[in-house]
Amino acid sequence: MLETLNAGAALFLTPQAVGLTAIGTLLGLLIGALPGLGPLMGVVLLLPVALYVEQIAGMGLLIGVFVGGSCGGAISAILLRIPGTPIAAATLIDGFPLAQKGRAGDAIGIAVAASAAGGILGGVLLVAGAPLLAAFATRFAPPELTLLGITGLLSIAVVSRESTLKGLLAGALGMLVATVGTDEFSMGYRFTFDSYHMLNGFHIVAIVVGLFAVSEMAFQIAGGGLRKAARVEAMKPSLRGIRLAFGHRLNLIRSALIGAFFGSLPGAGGDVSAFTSYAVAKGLSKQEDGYGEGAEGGIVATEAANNATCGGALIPTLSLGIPGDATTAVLLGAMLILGFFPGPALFTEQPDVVGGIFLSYIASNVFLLALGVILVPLFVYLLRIPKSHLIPTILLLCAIGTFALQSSIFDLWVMFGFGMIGIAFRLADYPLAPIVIGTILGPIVENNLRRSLLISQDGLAIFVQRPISLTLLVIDGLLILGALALGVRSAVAARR
Amino acid sequence: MVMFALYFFALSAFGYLIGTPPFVCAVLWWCGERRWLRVLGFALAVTAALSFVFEALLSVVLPRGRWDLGLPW
Repeated sequence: MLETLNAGAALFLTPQAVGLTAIGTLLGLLIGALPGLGPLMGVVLLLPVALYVEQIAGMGLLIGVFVGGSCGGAISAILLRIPGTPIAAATLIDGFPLAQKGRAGDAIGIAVAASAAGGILGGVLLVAGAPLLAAFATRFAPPELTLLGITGLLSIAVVSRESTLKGLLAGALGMLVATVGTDEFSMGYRFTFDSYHMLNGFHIVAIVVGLFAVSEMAFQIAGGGLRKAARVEAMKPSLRGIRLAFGHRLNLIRSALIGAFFGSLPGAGGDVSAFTSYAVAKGLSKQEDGYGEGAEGGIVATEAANNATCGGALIPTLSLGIPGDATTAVLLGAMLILGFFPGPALFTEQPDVVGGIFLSYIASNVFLLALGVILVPLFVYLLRIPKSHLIPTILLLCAIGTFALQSSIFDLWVMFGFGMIGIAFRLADYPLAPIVIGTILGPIVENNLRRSLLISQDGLAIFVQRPISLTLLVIDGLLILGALALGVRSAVAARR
Repeated sequence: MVMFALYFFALSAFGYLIGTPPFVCAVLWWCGERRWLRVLGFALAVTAALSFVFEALLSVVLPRGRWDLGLPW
């Protein structure tokens, strides 16, 4: 473990990597603070920029945005009673009442300190847990990798809020999108329609930017009321919140553990962990703690949990190559473009890269603490900017970033097409995350399935002849049964 | 989305520097901003700022159309 960190230090401790991690954290905080945007949008918007710098520096930038964005949502939740991100919705319960009591500075300080501390604890679990999981996963051969990919996709689809069937359909669309281009095995062309633009398939960045950023902007424009600037009073940085947050040590550690656990489960996400840890903290509190009326412990519980979720989510992403949610799916896509191949082999062949990623994650949480407290006046200023000015800027960033990938106007049209798909899916209440995860896991599943069949003597029987693959098969079966049961239950409930 | 599609055609024909300000103006107007001086100023400022960041700082080549302008950076 220490060797990995030591090897990573050589890569990470450069002015560019450390500087970009700090910049990423700051941008993440700012983007997360803007209602409607969040860590996913931040990572999506900065992904093209990350491809133009050193590999670890690029990952540092994106991980900084991931960490900063997960905390930034708390700022608008506390000041405006609008959670900047869904994961900050739980912070609103106690954050806004505390701000209404004239303690907005304390509330933000507590949120930032708890986020940073929770994130660092999540990082410790990441550093300890990911190598263990990766070491176990070295036993995986093509049959296990096939089923692991299917498990990842099923888990995301099953826990989709919209509906399991919709989640599965979205995942299937993602897998179909991934088949476009040149087949790795036969070198034949699939769905290219004789266009040389499509020989390499669709670029994942164009897909992600279209699905999430473009469709979100279209919905924000359609929502109206964009010229209104929020009324937020000027504030000065205060260090008192940090002291107050660390006064809730037990709550902080417990919430971070809950967050990291939920983060490591594909599909669970920061909002589930934040609400769970809030419920646990409230359940263990005394009446006089005043949960729901501005309790400091409530903010500590939710913020520590949601940032620890980031560390937890990186465990399966790095060690198995299975993303935990849409944001880690985009991070996984970024790693693939940057030339890292997450999975057990990454830990044995490129321990310096793994160490660099660990360090950038921990460093971004340290930056979060410093920047989040010092730059409070900047967040207040940002919240006053009307959306009418942010939307064209974001759309321009989408277009420039996507074009810059391959200097291709075709990529802009791909982004546009997926933007339309994103809008249609949102209108029909279909989840978008399974499309991205299907696009990333599709080739892993397909290539390993074909390798499995090539090495198998008995066709598909190879999947039940090996203990680990059989176990994964059983898990997949249980996930499908669980999905069916959930579907039946919701259908019955709808009839009543 | 129609404006976005038109913007891509404009990028192909005129390049980033000529195609972008009208797009930003159109989106700002669509978002409800009616003070034309502010619309125009913001469009020009954001176009120049992003051109500087991407072309000068990150060495990213922005779309060049048939009637493209070249900036010093």
